[in-house]
Amino acid sequence: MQSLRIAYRNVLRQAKRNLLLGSAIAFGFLIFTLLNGFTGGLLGSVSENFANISGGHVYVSGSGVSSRGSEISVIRNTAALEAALPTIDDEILSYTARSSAQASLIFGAQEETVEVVGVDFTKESGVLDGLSFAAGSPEGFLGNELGVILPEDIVADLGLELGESVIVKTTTVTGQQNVGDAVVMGSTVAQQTFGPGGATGYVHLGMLNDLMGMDPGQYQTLNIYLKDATAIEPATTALYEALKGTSVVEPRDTESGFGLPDMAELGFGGPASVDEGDRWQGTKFEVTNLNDNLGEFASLVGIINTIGLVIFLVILVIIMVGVANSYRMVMIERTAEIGTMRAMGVHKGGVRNIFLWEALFVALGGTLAGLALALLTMVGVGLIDFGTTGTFSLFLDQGHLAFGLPLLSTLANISLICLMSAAAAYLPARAAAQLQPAEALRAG
Amino acid sequence: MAIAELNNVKKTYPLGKTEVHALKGVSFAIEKGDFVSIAGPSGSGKSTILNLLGCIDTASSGQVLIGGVETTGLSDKQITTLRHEVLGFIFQSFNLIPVLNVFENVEFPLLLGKSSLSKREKAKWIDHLIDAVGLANWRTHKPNELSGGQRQRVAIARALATKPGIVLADEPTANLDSVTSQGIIDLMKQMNRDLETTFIFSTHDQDIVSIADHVIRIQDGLVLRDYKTARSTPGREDAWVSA
Amino acid sequence: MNYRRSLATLGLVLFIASAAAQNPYESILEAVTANSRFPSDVTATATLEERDPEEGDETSRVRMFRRDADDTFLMLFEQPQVKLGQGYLNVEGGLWFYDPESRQFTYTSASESFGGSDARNSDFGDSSLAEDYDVLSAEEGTLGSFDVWILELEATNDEVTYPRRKIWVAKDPQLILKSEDYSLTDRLLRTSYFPSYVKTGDTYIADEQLFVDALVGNKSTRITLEDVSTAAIPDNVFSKAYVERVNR
Repeated sequence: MQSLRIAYRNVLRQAKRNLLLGSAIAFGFLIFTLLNGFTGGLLGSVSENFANISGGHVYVSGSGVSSRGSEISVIRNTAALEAALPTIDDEILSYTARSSAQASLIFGAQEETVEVVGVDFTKESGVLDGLSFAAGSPEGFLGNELGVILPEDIVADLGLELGESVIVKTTTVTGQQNVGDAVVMGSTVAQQTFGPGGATGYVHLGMLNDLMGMDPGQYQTLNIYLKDATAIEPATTALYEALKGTSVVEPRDTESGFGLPDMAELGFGGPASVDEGDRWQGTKFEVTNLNDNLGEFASLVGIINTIGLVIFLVILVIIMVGVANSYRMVMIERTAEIGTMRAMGVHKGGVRNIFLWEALFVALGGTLAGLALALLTMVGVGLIDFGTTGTFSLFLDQGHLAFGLPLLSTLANISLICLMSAAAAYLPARAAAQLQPAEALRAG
Repeated sequence: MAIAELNNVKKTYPLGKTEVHALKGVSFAIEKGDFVSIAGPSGSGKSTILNLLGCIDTASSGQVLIGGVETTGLSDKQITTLRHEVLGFIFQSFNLIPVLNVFENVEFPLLLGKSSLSKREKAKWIDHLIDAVGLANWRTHKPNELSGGQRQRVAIARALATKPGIVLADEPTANLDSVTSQGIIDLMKQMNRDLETTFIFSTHDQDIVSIADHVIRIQDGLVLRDYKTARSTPGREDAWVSA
Repeated sequence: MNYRRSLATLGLVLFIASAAAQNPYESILEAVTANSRFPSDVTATATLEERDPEEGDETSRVRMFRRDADDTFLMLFEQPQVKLGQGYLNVEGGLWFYDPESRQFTYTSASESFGGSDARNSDFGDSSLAEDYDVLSAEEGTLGSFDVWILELEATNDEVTYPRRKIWVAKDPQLILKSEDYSLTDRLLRTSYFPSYVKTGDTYIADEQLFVDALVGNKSTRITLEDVSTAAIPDNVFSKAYVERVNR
């Protein structure tokens, strides 16, 4: 404890030098922490934005083969899927069963292409809460089973008024042309969304199913929101295995990156034909997840993190060289003092510890200052509103840069810098401890 | 029994390619409670003797006994502990720990190793020592706020903190003016009387030598004279102890 | 958009009444199918006039080489000027787009829609009227000065683009003059007119076709063919090298 007190006082005694050394450590740690926090937050924001755009973390789609050999994208065997869901019941926050189609909306001489999503609003009331209405109301929409909610710019382009009927032209899952009427019951504030969808309209699931030649209770995709986004892989695998027990499944392809869905999935061109040998009976399920889509982005983050790690190592080396050099000088300056302490009965270990503690204090002070500065910067930058439009918004959390700093790894990094500083001080410290008291005193 | 004893001690230092024979066979014994002056011109070997007595240096040959213990062959740990428990040091250039204030400097040796004293007893004892060296008003001052004489008083108090059997003082007055030097010597003498602590100091100042009751004169690495004065042992006036 | 529109153009040009024929009236369907069966090799210059209130009117001219036996075709744009030299080459199941600016071929999926206009993939597939449709009812009538059969058709399966059609078939020779195409919900989607045919060998090719969108007002497409020939096309025409050579 005596060593600790003396070390602490020594740090204060050489305040200017230690301030310089500590500042260097603080600056290095600031940069590293910012970079780490930035990539961490980026991945978090992108994951969250993707989950919101994709409507979940884990996605199940299904398809069957028609008598003519065409692949029909619809989950007809919903029972098998709903029987498999309880295996991951604990992880599920909510799930959404959807149908969707690329549809032409026609009003007078105007025609607009929109992705129309069918939602069972009796089960998924939250979807409406998530939409920002420019006109109309959720209540009005719910009261009209032919109701449609469209982006306001689409409504404007078509020249529609609330309550007016619009023709919806799309193809059935088997490829037939079909046309129905919908009533505009609401418009949503135009929002920049990512992905091929562009504009999305919402209708009741039953209506869209009818238009697409599906039974009322059927759907094309089941999207699952998990309680814990980090449990995404185990949950995907568990669901996949459960489905595999009862149904045909598409093998999990973990290699796929940013894949745009093929045209058939978007509703163009009708169903694709399946080769004779590849056909299957009943519904074939395909289980995918957010990570499948984020794979390339995640590896980009990995690269940035690797760069961060290299910076960290460089900083570490610079810190170690700085610390080692400082304490070599300190040792020379304090030779007489060391001799005095040794003469008074301070053991070698005591002398060594004073040096180690000093290095530790400077490193700890530096890293904590760096962390504090980094946090301040993050809060500051986080306050800037970059807006929610533009592709860049995908990387933002509601228009703000989010930073994610994992507590454990931050603590680990601080510990590592402190330990390495102490390690760098070890040689000078040991040399100081090994000084012969008489010689040391003579130096004074 | 002698509290410190040197038997035919030799000490050689390497100096470049040659060797310096600092001590060429020195023997003497110091009794408990003595106020000892090791006197001689500079380079005579005074400091070497003090270093050997203080166990901060080792003899090339011969025996160094402190409190009856042969120090040759002890481990660094044992010697460090011996220094802590038996010896106190006063240095020519005071060698206070700059980051500690007067109280803390005096306290410093007490905080090393185990102590039978309670915290309060320690504080009381330190305060007593600071009072005794006349620095009661300077307890919280740092060394750089004190004069040379004051610093050496702190060093005396510090040397006495662990109630050592022997206090070694290497030219304690060399950096002080004559008035202040006299004060320091008087203080040491007073402590020697009050606490019955053996004081061994080296000096080349004849005025100070005269205060000692046991004088060991050194010249060229050998004991020139070793005598006690009447002041210390009234019954043995002018008794000579041959070197 | 431009790209999709080009594909739409392509689809329409390829269409040209390739569709055709059983119950008492099924024979009519079969006759139509036989009469308008495309010979394997057809060369023609097609002019497309699209009227679209939303995207504006556009006229295109395309030099067309078509060989149904191999499922291959080549289209080279002559008009509009901005598309001059652009080509679509369909060989071995792959559809290639040639851009004379970059002198590069781009692969596009063959399953891609020629959508956005009134032509569908099924308009020029292997399907035939006789195979895909049953005759629900038939009556005699006139269309202009022509005596016609008016047939109501229903798809035999659920993968046919138009689940229901109504066609006006001239009695001699038996050719479709007009067609109304309906959605699954029985809504008229488009009306097609084939007022003129040219006879080449044993079959007839409609050299004038008009498609009128029934849902979007004022949206229609007219196709006229000139220089129609059914002479055998040299094999080397269906190659990337030929497309590049033509552009040199």
